[in-house]
Formats: sequence, structure tokens, C-alpha cells
Amino acid sequence: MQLENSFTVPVPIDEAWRVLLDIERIAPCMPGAALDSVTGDDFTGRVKVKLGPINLTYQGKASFVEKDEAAHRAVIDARGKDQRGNGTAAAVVTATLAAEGSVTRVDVLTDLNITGRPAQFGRGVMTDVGNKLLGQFADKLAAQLGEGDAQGDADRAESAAATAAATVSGAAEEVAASVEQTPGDTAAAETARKAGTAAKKTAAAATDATGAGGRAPAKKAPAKKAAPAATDTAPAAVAGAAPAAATSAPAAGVSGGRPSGPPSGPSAPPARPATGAPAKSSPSTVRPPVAEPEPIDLLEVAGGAALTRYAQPLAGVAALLLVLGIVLRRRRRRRR
Amino acid sequence: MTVTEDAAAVAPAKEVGQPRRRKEDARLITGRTTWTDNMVLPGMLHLAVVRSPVAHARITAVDVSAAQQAPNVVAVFTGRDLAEEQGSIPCAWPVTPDMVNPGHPSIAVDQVNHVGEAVAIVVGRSKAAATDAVELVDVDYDLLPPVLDLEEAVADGSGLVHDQLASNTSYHFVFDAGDAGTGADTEQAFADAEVVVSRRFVQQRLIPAFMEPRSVVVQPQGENYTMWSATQVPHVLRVMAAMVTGIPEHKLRVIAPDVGGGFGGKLQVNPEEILCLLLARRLGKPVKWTETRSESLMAAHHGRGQVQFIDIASDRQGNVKGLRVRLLADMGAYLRLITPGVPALGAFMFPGIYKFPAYRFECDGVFTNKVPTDAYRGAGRPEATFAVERIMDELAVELGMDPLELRRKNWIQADEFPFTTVAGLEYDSGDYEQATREALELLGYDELRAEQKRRRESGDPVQLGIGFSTFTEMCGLAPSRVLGSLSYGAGGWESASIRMLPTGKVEVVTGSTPHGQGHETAWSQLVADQLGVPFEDVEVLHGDTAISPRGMDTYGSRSLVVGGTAVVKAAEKVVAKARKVAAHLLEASEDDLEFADGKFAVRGTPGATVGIQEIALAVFAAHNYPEDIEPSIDAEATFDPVNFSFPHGTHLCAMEVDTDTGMVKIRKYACVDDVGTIVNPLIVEGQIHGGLAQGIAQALYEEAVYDADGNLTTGSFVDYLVPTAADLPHFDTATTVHAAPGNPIGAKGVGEAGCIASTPAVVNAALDAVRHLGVSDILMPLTPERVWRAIRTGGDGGARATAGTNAYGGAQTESTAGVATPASELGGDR
Amino acid sequence: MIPAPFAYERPTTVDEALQAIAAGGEDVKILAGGQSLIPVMRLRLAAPETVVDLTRVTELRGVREEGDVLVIGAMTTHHDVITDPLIAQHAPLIAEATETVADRQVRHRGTFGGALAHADPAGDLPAVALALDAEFVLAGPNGRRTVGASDFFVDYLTTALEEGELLVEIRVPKLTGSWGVRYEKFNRVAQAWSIVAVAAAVRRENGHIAEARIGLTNMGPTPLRARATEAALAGAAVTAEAIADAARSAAEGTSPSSDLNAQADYREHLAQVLTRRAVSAAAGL
Repeated sequence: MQLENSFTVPVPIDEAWRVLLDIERIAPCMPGAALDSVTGDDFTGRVKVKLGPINLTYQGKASFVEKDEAAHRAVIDARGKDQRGNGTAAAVVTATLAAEGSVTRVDVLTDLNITGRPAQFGRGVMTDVGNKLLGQFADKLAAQLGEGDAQGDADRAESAAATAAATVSGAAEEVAASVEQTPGDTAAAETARKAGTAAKKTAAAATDATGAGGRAPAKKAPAKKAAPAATDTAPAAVAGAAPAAATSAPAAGVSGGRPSGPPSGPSAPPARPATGAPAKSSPSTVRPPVAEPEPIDLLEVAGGAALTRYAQPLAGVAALLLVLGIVLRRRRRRRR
Repeated sequence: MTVTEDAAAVAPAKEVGQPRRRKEDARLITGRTTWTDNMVLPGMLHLAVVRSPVAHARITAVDVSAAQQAPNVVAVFTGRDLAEEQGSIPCAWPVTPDMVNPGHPSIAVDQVNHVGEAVAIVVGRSKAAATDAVELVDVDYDLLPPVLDLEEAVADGSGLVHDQLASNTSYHFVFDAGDAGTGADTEQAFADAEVVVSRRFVQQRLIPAFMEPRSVVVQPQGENYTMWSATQVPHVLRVMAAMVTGIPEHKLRVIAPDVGGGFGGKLQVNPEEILCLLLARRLGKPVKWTETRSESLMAAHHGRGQVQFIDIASDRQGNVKGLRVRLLADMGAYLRLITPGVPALGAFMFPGIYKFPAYRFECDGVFTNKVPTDAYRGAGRPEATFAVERIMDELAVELGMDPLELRRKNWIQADEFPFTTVAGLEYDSGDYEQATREALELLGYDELRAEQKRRRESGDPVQLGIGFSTFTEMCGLAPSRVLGSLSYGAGGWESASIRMLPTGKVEVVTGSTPHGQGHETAWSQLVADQLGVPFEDVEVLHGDTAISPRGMDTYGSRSLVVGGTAVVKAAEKVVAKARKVAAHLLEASEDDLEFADGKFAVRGTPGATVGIQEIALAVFAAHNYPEDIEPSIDAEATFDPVNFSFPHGTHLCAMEVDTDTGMVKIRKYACVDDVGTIVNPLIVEGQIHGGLAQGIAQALYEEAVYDADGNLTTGSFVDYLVPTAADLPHFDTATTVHAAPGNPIGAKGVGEAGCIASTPAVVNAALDAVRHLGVSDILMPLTPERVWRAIRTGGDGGARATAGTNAYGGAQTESTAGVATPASELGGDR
Repeated sequence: MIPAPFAYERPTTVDEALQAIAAGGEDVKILAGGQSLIPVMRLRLAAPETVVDLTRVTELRGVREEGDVLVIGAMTTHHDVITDPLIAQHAPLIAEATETVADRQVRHRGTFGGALAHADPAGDLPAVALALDAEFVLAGPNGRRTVGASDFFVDYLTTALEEGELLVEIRVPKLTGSWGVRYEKFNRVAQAWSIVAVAAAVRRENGHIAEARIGLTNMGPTPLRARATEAALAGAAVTAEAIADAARSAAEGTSPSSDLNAQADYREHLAQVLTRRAVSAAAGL
């Protein structure tokens, strides 16, 4: 499963790059994640996923397998096992930064590989989980990067929120325009109004929370002994190989009317479903899922401070953007 | 009043032909019987299997220490612990001399090759304890790229499932009618043909989905072992398990108690059966393993799994000239009992009922990182029937002919039987015209065709189509010499014995082990007629190698044809033995005795009679019997058929297709089957219904779907859709009877007919409904989405669920942070 | 499969239940009918510390009237919902949708409140509750609060229920006036979840559609209203054309997922077709 997220952060590329490499700040961006230890470029930790009645805790290790300063590209290889033996999860996360004037565009490409029982459902339980995890990871990463390199404090959080809001205002105008152009859009407009209200509320709540003294983006977790780490040094190349093979499969069609080819001959093209390039999401549309309490049990594991601090203001903005996303999507579809 | 009429009035009705209710059903349906999982033995331990969550990987470490210390855990074993003694799961069918078999460990030692493969076993004092401790076994995998797609697997540069092998191809099997002398040169036939139609069909993977999960209990007693297993094949299992484990065959007893369905899925020597035997031997205690449904779906063998390239040649008038078949057959990761033989068995059925002058069949058995395939209801023959019945429709379209007319023009006529086909089989009997005529009436064909026309003309959103399948199959597996010529590792005979008890009751021992077919009822009917004893006086014993020492078990629609015949032959011997005793008791010459309705009577001497049940008592007492015989009228017989039997039939499906949604709905289904002489019409009807359900399920519902990483995403019945009665139409069924000449019963076999025949009829019907909209093929199962896409964009409906799901590992995942993916470049052709 | 070990409480009153939930530790699961929870536990995708079984909390069962509102106890089984005369009279859409839930066995065990609290977007009842503007009464350690349907469904399998809270009853405004209803469900086999389904309630007045309420099942992480279609239908003529026009916007604002049964674009298409059918039937066409 490949997931792609793109967003811009209102800091220059060099500052964004520094934050990106600071694992103790990045790791808590993974919803429900907790760091257990950090040793150089390797770290161990847990990710707890809670979705309705489903409850999974992946424990494992991750490491930077590439830090290309020139290209502003970092690759993190993470792999874990469910504590109840329900299978494994592995992700190769490639983050690439690109300067866009004074802001930075971040492309996050994630190859997510989930095995075992959660993968054994055609109703896409894990797709939902994967999407949520990665979406939230990207959102929080955006918040982190937006925070810049400095120690966070309440003022800074507010200004970040304000900046983020400013960033989307241009897009919001576009939305408004499209709303005008779109007949029968009252429902969307209503939703937008509601979302606006919600955004205000959550922003207020966030301010309260920050005022209450949440500090430090990620409290330094005590470096516990990482027992399995030594045996776990699987090279990233192996992890990358499977998804890479999948994506590079020729996008060959399987046509009913095509004359049959010999089984092993060149005229029997691969039947694998075409896996084209991942669709790019628009850089201007950071859309965390919802402004409501998350199914991912982040508070519990990552510490309340980090969440209230970064997730909530962003979530408020997100509610607006949700509407934006919907409208953009519709327009895009029309164009096709 | 004549004597004849009088006799007819008092004579008991013949049992054969009566729709007897099945005598075994009360206990089976209410569960008042011993299923394997009901077995409780003193000191019994429970096994739970740790299974690989990954499709292809090297095992770098297995840490069992936490599991070993869990409460009520007795021991934990890894593949390494059992590597020296586990041998390989046997493959009994090396279809070619150079077939490559990488060996099949029951538990993985260094490498896993499919999701669900066993990597460790926890032995606990209770099932719950063992299950809990499974979570504590920590296995490290070094992932390898999985090989999943058949066509990619045989392409140059493909990764390998087994890296010690040169390729993913296990074997290349060829049958060429020209070379075999049963037909003309195929290449020449195609070169000369006026019309050639080529198609690629896909047989999706199916899961047998038997009702009773697999279950094994093994009890060690000194050097002896008793294994209870929910198996179709206790006799085969005993031989094979002895060979694999080194336990001498005479020290091993295998019992299949009542077994809840198999459909080929329990025609296997399962890794878990071997593991239970090994652990019982090692621990010296009884052990039990019963699978969960999740385990069953991912670790029990699957069926089908073929890509078929079919070419048909004909002249402009629709006279077929040749058939060429090239298959890629999915073996899965290993070769199990008859994995390679399933497609080879189908090799002889692709010509169907048609008189092809030329025929060539080629098949590559291909390894993939999926659970092995093996027998599933029909085993090779549904695949063949589907291909030929689909390609006949395609040829009809190409020629602009009515599909039925095309079939008529080419099928074997009733007066041509016995007919030797281009594949070298001798079809025994039948009348395809008659079955078709009756089926058309049953369906109300003309009226539905008129409605189809009306709907088409009015542009109705619901279109109607009619699909044909005029099929035959080879049943009664199998003549042992033929199996030998196909390199199968055993024979196809069957054994039976009859024990006449002193009270006149009869025990029939059959080697054909039932798992839900109703053998007890049908055998009782046969014996009641043969011996003239009441139906209720017959008991049928089966499934225990100590009680029924010889047998080849149940599969391939063989039981009645081969096993039933053995019973009849044994009964004939009983009568022959009893005749000597009767002559002695009646003080008459054997030649003067008549045997009817269970009594020997002296011709011309009214009142001088003795019943066969009385004779049983007489030889038990043994006070008075002829000097030159043993005091017993028990008998045993083994029957080895000379030829297969060839049931046939015409199946017609009328299908409504909602072009707005792609939903298909069977409007009417009519079939006329000829399965030879019918012993019990109720059982035949039941077999047809069940077979139809499974065949329709392949067409419309079932598919084992693996994602791009090799996860089985249809890992529960939520996603692996087995239809229920609520999803199936009423079936209009009828039969014609052309007795099989190859056995005294005249039966041809019915166990697979509905399953083999129905799939192409259903798909042909759906295509007939939408062909005018530009659709020429839709992949099975015909999900509403596929049908909708095929109508919208042409193509075959495409793979299921690519974008954004784990189901096919699609790369176009919508990001929650972003907006939509441009929803789908999801045309038909992917 | 055997679930992992868990503590088990079986209270008989709501207060006892709340206490049991509060005392149940970090991971408490509430068992209503168990038709979703038990399979997930058996698959060991959930391993709660404590299961609080509500089957003996009799005060949570049954249907009653309170003026213009029907009050349905959270533990009322699907079977009881289907056969309840008050629901048949005042909220027939609920009965119609409930009849399509799974199979007979499940309907005898599964409960109205359990299905709503589970909040599976493919479940049939959330969209109906949303279409009918139902309200959810949640009991917690600090008393009761009421949440509207639009706020109750938060995300995939996630509701406004906070930890320690319990859904006790669902308040459904009676449909007064000349309403027609229809639940149009699309699935592959009878007992399966909806691929997409549409719950429609239409009020006719003077030959026109005065008001339409349309709930969408499985068109996003939560049940959704087809607001654009509803707006287009308000005041529309009761004609096939008008309804078809309005139904074309049924998928606006949805974000359906792609899975084995359907990809997103197909779901969007289905939403339009099923909305047209459901509204037509509800409007008496």
C-alpha cells in the first residue's frame, strides 16, 4: 500500500530540514507512537492503534536509512510486530523537501506493508487505519515543521496556527469562488459555516490547553534498553524491494478480446493490476481527518502535551480544509 | 388375474429408484455423532499453530521462550526441532518424469513460502492455553519479494519462489492428439482454418469452504497410533502418513468418523495431520488440533487458479476444426497430494461434447507464494468445461450463429456412442439433443428470448440474457491402468465386503468413505435389492482402516460408480455362497433354485423356500451345512472399472443484468442431467442443487484474493462470499437416463455435475445480456462493479479493488491529508 | 478462535453498568448484542481488559412514546425493533432498514444501540438515525447528555461517546404528515454489509415534495446526509425527471473508500442510482 502526502510549511527549507532529522520531534508525529530509545539514527518504540473495537500495538524499530542533505531527502525504515502476534507492519517513509520561496513543500511517500490478521479483510480495515496514521503523521509533521526549530511556547503555537490559517486563506478564496460558481451548493456552505465554528472552538480549546502549560514538542523519553535492536538490523533494501517491484510492474492491460499468447511467451503480458504512479495530492490542502477526538490513542502514549499543543489548532484549520477538499475534489472531477 | 400381476402386487418395491430420506441425516444434522473435534481422550494435549503472516521470507529467529513459560503450556516446537523427522508432504501425481518438486515441509524450517504456513507449534493442556501462547512466539522474518502473478512468475527475470530451483515452473505437460494418434495435426488444422477465435480466461482461486473445519486427534498406544481425522481419504492418508513418518503402516490406524463436507478440500495429506502424528510420538500423549475458520481459509488447500489461453478453429459454416489449449496452473508454494494432477486431469475434457478433429493441450504448473492448490469439486474438469463452453459462445458470435445451433452442429450424436474423442476418451452413452430439448422446455426458452428482444429494443435498464452449457465430465475415477498411464501413484479400484449377521441383519463395509454424500442410504438401497432384505436391516460401515481395511475413499464422483459396484459384486458373491447352503437345506439342486426377494425357492415346488437371512443364522449355528464349503456366506469384492463414466447434461441460465448498477440476478435456471441410472432421486437432486450452488458461486461470488504482498484479503466469510439459499434462485431440474454400460448399476456419477456445468452457463448468460453493449468477457466472479465497469468501458471488468486498498496493494492511495485521488483510471483493462 | 482472557461484568442497572465501566480498567468494552465485538475479540483484534455485558440491564430495552418523540432503548434487539408497533407507525424507515441487517440469528441478538455505538459506516442503522435526526442520550459518571446524530458519528467506528459513557437511548422524532420511506440496500449476498445503501424519507404536500431526508450508508467514514439532493428536492415536483436530476448530486460531499466490493467512483455512482430509487419509492412513484 502506497500513501502519498504533500503539504507546505511556512519555514525556509534549511530550518525544515533540521526539524525533519530530529527524530525525537518527528517520532511523536506518528499517531499513537512512543519512543523507547534513540541510538544515533536508530530508534525503537511502539505505535498503538485503536479503531473502534480494534486494538493493535506494534512494537519495533526504525532508522534513518538515508539523509541526503543536498537533495533534502530523508528515508526512514520502520518495522514492527503486533504484540498479540497479529502480524507485522513495515513502512518505508521517504520525505523530500523542496523550497518554494520562503516556505517549504514536503512530499511524504510511504510504502506501508501490513501483514497478518488486519490484512485479511477485504473491507479495508487496514487501509483506513493506514490512511489515518499516515495522514495524521503528515499533519503533525507539518505542525512540527511549522513550529520551526525553536522551543515551542504558547505564543509560538498561536502564531503557527495563525500562519497556517493564513496559508490556506488563499485557497479558501478559491473555494469561495467555486462555491459561487457551483449551483445548489447550500449544503456545502452550511458545512463550511459549521466547520468555521468548530475551528474557532477548537482553537480556543487549544489555547486553553497551551496556557495550561503543555511544553516541549516531545518529552525526551528515557532511553530504555533496546533488546531486540541488535538482531533487527534488516537492510532497508529488502523492505523496499517488495513495494518497488509492485510499482514497477508494467501497466499491462488484460484484454478480453486480445488473442491468447503462449503461456511463457512475450505475448502473454503480466496480468497484475496496473499500479500507476501515486496520485499527487495538492500541496495546498493539508487535511487532517477531523476535529473530534481521534481513534488513535495518541494522548495515552505520546503524552498529552504534544497532542493538545499541535494537533488541535491544526485540527481546527483542518475542519475548514475538509470542506475545501471536498469542493476541490468536485471541481477536479468536473474537469475530467 | 394373472400370476404376474399377483406377484407384482405383493413384491416389495425395488429400493433402487426410491427417494429414500437419508438414514444418516438425523445424526449428522443434529450433531449427535462423533465429529473429530468431539473426541476427548484422557491426558489429551492441544496444539495451536503459529503461522506465518508473510508470504515469502527467510526465518531469521524464532523465540519460543515466553510461550514455553506461559501457563499450561507443555512444549513449543519450531520447524528446526522437527526438521529431521518431518519428511515431506507427499505428492502422489508426478505428471511428467521431469516434474520439479521442491519438497513440502509440514512446518517451515528456514523459509516461509506462503501466508499461513506453520512456523511453530504450541502444545498446551487446553486449547485456550495453547491459543494464548501463540501470541508469545516471536518470529523474525527477513522478507523476500513474493511471487504471486502466474504470468509474471513464468516471465524472464521473475523472482523465484524456491531459489534453489531454476524457475517457477514445476512441469510442462503436453497432450497432443496428433502425437497420440487420436486426432489430426493441430498446427495444420489452425493453419488451414477459415476462422480462429482466441481468448484468455481466468479461473480464479476458490476455497473449498467445507462446513466442518479440519480436525485431527492422534492417540499413541505403545508403538501403535490411532489417528482420527476429518478427512475424505483415511485409506490414502494411512499409507502416506506411514511413508512420511516411518511409522509402520500396520502400526497406524486411521479413522474418519462422520465428516462434515470436503469438496476435495479434505482429499489431502495435511501438514497438520503429519505434525499431530510426530508430536504424539514425541510426547507419548494424545494430541488434538482443530483449525479455526481463519486458518482453514488461508492454510487448507485452495482450488482452481488457472490462466487459460484457448484457441478454436472452424470453417465459416461453424464446423469446428481444432482446439488448442495452453494453461498456466497455479500450484501455490508447494505440491500437495495431487496438486499437479488437477490441471492434467482436465486435459482430456477440454474438447467437451464436440467432435474436434484436432486438439493440443499444454500446461505449465507454476509455483507462487500462495497456499497450494489441489482438488476442489470437479478438479480440472470445471476449468475445461468452462473454457470450451465459453469459447463456443465466442465462436458463435464471431460466426454470427446461434450458440445452440453451433453446438448442435458439432456435438456427438446419440447414435454415435460409444464415441472416442480427440482426447482419446471413449464416451459411453447419452443423448445431448434430448437433454437440450427438455432443458429448453423447462426454461421456457422461446418466451424468454422474446422478452430479451423486447427489453433490448426498449432499452430497458434491466437486460436479459440466456446462457448455455452443454457439458460432459469424466467420472467414476478411475480405471487403475489409466491412472498408471498418467503416472498417478495409486489405483482407482474400490473395495466392499458384506457380513451376514446371525439375526439376519447385514453389515456392509465400504472402502469409499463418505463425508456427507449419503453413502449409507444409497448402499443400503443397493444391498436391499441385491439380497432382498429390508432397507432398515442394512448397516454401512466405513472410514476406519481397522474396520474397512481396503479402500480408495471418496472423490471424483466415484463412490456409487466404483464403490457401489463393489458392493453389488460383494452381494452377488453372498447370494452365490448362500445358494449352496440353500440347496443343501432345501435338499435341491442349486440349478433348481430361484432367488428373488431375499428367498431361495425350488422351481416347481411351492412352499419350499428359505430366506437369505435364515441362511445367515444357519451358517452361524453351523449345525447343518454342505461339507465342501466354509460356514460363512460373507463376501468381499474389489471392483476396478474398465472405463470412466460420462454424465452429461444441458444447463440453461436466464440472467437479468441491471445495467445501472451492474447487479446480476439469475432469473431462471433449468438443467437436465443424465447421470445414468438413479439409485436415489432425492440424493441426486441434492447433489445437483449443491453443485449448482458451488458452480454459480464461482461465477458470481467466490474468489480468494491475495494482495500485492501475498496477504489473503478474503480471510473470513465476510469477504469470501459463500452464497446461501437466500442468494440462489429456484432450480428447475430434470434428468434423462442413459445407463452407464461400464458398471452393473448403470450409474455415471453426480457429485460434481452441477458444479462443473453451471459456471459457464451463468457467465454466458450474463454476457448474452450485455454483449450488444460491447461486452465480450467479464472476469469471475461477476461482481456488480465488474459488470458495471465492463458495460461502461468495455474490457473485462478488471481486478477488484486496486486503488487505495490493501486488497491489491494499489499505489493510488488517497491521502487523508490531501484531496482525492483522481478517483480512478479504473477502466476495464487493468 | 478463542478470545484472550478478560474480566466480565454483568450489571443489571445503568448505574451499575457505569460503575463497572469506570472500574473496569484501561480498556473496557461494552457488550450489547455482541455481533460485532465478539468476532473481533475472537480474531484477537481486540483484547479488552473488561467486558461489561448489558444484556441484563432491562431498563435499556423497549420502545416508548414521549410526545412527538419515540424513545428506543439502546438494548432493544433488532428483532424487537422490527416487530414493534410504535416503530411501525412512527418510524417505519427504521423497521425497513433493520430488516436488512445481517440474518435472522444476528437480528435476534444484535441491538439497536449496539449497532449505532459501533458506528460502522457500512452498518445500516447509522444512516437511518442520521436521516431521521435522531438524538443520542449518553449516560456518564457525571449524568446524562444528549447528542444529535450529526455530532454523534465522528469517524470510522468512532462516536461522540467518551470513555466511561454509555449510550442508553435513542430519541427519534416522529414523522408527522404524509411521509413515505424507503431503505435501498445494495450488497452482493443477503447477509453482507451494504456496499452502499440509501435511507430516504420524503414528505409530500400538494403534489410536490415538501421535504426529503436522505441518509447514505458506507459513503465515508461516517454516515452522511445527501444535503445537495435534499435541497434540490425541496419543493420539487414528484416526477421521475425531477428526482433523477436531484439524485445526481447524491454523492456530493462524500468520501467513500475503495475495497474488495467497490472502488470509490463506483460507490459514488451507486449512491446516485440508489438515491434515485429510494426517493422515487418513498415519494410513491
